[in-house]
Amino acid sequence: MNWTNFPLAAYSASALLILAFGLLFFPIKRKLKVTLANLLTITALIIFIIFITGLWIHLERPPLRTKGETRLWYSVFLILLGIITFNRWKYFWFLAFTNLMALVFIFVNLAHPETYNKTLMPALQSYWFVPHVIVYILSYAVLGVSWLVSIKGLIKSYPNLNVFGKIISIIFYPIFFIIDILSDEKNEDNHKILKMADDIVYIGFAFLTLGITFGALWAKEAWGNYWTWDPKETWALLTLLVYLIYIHIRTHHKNRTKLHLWILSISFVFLLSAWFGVNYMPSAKNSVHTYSQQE
Amino acid sequence: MFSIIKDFLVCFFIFAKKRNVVEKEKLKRKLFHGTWQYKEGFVISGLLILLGIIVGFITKNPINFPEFPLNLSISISYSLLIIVLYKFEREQKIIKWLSSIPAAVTSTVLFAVTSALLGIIPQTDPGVILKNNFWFDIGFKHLSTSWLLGLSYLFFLTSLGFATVKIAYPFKFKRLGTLLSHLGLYIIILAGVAGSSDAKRTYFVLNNDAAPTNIVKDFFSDKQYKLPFKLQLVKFDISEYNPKIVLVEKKTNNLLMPESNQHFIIHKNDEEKFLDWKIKIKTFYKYAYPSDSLYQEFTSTNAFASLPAAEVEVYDKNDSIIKSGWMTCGNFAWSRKNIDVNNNYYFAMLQPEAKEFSSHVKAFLPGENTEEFSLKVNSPKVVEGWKLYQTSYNEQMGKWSNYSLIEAGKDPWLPVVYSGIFLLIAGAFYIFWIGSFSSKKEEEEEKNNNLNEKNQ
Repeated sequence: MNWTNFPLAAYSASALLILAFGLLFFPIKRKLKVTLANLLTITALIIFIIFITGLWIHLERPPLRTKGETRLWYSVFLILLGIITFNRWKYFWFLAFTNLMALVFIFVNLAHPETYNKTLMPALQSYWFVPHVIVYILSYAVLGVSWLVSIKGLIKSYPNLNVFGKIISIIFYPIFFIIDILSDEKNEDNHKILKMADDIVYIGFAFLTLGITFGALWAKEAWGNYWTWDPKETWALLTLLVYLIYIHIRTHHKNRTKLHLWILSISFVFLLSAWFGVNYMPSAKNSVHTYSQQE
Repeated sequence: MFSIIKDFLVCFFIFAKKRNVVEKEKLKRKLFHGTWQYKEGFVISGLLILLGIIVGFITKNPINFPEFPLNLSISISYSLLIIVLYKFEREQKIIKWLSSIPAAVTSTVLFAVTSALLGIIPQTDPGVILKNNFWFDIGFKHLSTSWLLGLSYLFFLTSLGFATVKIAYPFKFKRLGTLLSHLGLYIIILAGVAGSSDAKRTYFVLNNDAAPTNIVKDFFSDKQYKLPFKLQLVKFDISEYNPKIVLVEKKTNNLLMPESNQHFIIHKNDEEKFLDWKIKIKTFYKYAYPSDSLYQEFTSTNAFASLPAAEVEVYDKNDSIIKSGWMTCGNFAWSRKNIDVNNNYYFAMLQPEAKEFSSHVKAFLPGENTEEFSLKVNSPKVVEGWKLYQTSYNEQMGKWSNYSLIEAGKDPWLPVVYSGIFLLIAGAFYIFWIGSFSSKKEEEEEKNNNLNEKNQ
């Protein structure tokens, strides 16, 4: 099995993922929905695993070298983590999201199958690359959802919105609408909203912790040190600390819901800084995480 | 909008916002009287910042943690101190507070603030000391070795330590995940800092055709290190990607991407559109020599100092050839050759990027044993307790580099830090699976405790 077989595997898996995605919005019985969504997504996963195994045997090396191969793993891990998280937490939106992300990577691979020759610098050629990036993609995505939830809570907390507040709530309305369809909870008050936010933050925080520890273990193999206060590392740590503050403050004064919502929404600013804001900071001039070309 | 900002300010900066009578009474509580809360934490943090700056200004030097065995005994006795204090003095106001959420939150805030400074302010390279520089003296230019970060570290570590003991005593199985993540983080932070003084690291050059040596000179500081084994470079290997072609605007020196917006990597018979022109690769040699000084012809060879060369044709909008000839990116021995399109633009070949580089190394171990191995980026090798890494090479000479830059590191505390990292990872899985830190039962217990406190 080689890349010429890829369209077959990709289209059949995509069809299953799209079906599962559409199904999540379909008003059928919850139990049936869970079973069908699982069945479709797991079948897509199996198709991918068969393809990767075949490719591995054909290439006589783990398919981890080119960007196209890396994207293949992205799709597989996203589907896998989607299934695990969905079955643990039963959030329909989460499976919808991971399926959608996996589809994006599959279609990028279909559109650019000739990705053998794209350059990948030696420092990135490591088996840590895929897990490190995948858990970060997921944690950022999940914490992004927790941010949306916090904005929703904040808008509800201030009933007398002025023009700006109203514009913000109108912009976000379609997203809240989708989340409402996909989640069972009808979020009436701040306590319920925060309960949902907590669960989401725990998932995102777990991935964030995995991301930073995988990064440390990789750095030891690549650069000889697990922690060097590189600006990107520092901001990743900061993000971790800020969500740590949120998690701890939530266990204390349970009734300070507005404060908690504010902290959660501001935490996302740190996450964004760590993600791409750090490239624009004065400290970033020597960062090892800037992979732009020097020419 | 204004009301939101106002409320945000109120929420964020005045923690003790008046809510009900009980909290009003709390507000009246004098600092450091009664049960310590967030206010005390922020005051302590402020004092630590001040202290860090003052001590930094007086000592003027980066701090170094003591070396073995002192760092080991400090680490163990500090941990024991926390355990003993918690065991016997946990009713003391300070101990109670240090193991509480407010201390955890405020110490994390302080740690986050100092880390944020580190993440924003450009830092000096390690080992560099700026004389008579105010910002350097107070630690802002070398935060990772400053008193400021050291003290916030200490506060964070102490609060984390007490929290860990509090979670562990009395032990309940359902708190296992929480315990793992707290203990893991405590071990990482303690061993990471305490062990940093025992870690040795040097970068050195292994030259082609040089005799085996165990005395290496540091590439950056000229300090000498003695390794317990001799090293010899057998062969340095590098494989490169094919070079890229770009269009350059003469006036600005801007590199323009092709129409497809993807880098144009040279392959024989490939063509690509740039603005109004199309460039086609007629012939491509990855390594070649020019056969004359005007670069009118190239011949393929693998000899020393050979370089990439491509014969190209440039077409205009009407598909007629306007230019043709050889181009090359040049190297340390040969100058580059571009293809001019008109007075404003020319095509240029970029230096090829390294795909993979590795050093085949022979190590002469004590006792007349030898070992041969290959070092690559991302695949280091441990010899006699030293971990060897492929770091770089003579980048100016590229493919024909005359040396390999190797890093050798020794970190005896690494297993301790790693055990902490694995505990933390286990804790992360627990957080993922279980979610909430405190179950409903514990929440109720906490409520009852709060009520009892109020009644007292």
